[in-house]
Amino acid sequence: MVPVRTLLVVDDDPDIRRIAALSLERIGGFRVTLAASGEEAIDHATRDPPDLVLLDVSMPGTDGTATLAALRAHAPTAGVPVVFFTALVSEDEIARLRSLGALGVVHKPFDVVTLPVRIRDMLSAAGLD
Amino acid sequence: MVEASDPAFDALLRAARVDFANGLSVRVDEIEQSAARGAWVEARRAAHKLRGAAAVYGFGALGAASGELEDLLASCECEPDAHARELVDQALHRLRTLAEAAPAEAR
Repeated sequence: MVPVRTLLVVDDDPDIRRIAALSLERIGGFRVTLAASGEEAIDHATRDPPDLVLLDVSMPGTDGTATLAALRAHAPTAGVPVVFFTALVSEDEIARLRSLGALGVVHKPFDVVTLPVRIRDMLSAAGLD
Repeated sequence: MVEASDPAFDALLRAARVDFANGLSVRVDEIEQSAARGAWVEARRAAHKLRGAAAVYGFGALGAASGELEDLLASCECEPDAHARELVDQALHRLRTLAEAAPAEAR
């Protein structure tokens, strides 16, 4: 039996959190926890490390890249794969995010039906399926 | 896990879309208030967020209008002149019109 994977979705926009959770839980069959900020994400992930973090790049306070750095700096979350959410789609920006250690990048707007497939593909590529 | 065409999923998605549409006026209010007090970075950030969310929820025209506003605000971050302010006002008006139409569109 395939284990249920836990995703931590981090975005300061409650509408994005809601629809991402709907997509990933109902279509993808993932268990989803939510965080509204980088600080909240670090707290959640340190207490209960998820299988993957889906992390918005552009957030007030601790933004996505700073959150990734903080996750990497804590032993319990150092190895947790991170996928960035971003509306910035230039190749340079994607390359920059990947160079920081992101497993992948999901562009906004995303499709609610195909988002879980993309996440599952990334988990699979990382040997976590 | 359900199929994408599952009626229960469709109902949840529809409810989320209606709630999003009903909340648009508040989001546009916030952008207008930020722009009115010259908080361009804050206004641009909010327009950027709305651009992404609107497209995810299937409000393409509203997403495009938000993107147009975001681009205008990006060019206003220093000291906007009267012409730039007028363009921002026009873009805000278009956004307001689309936001007010969205709840009916979502039903």
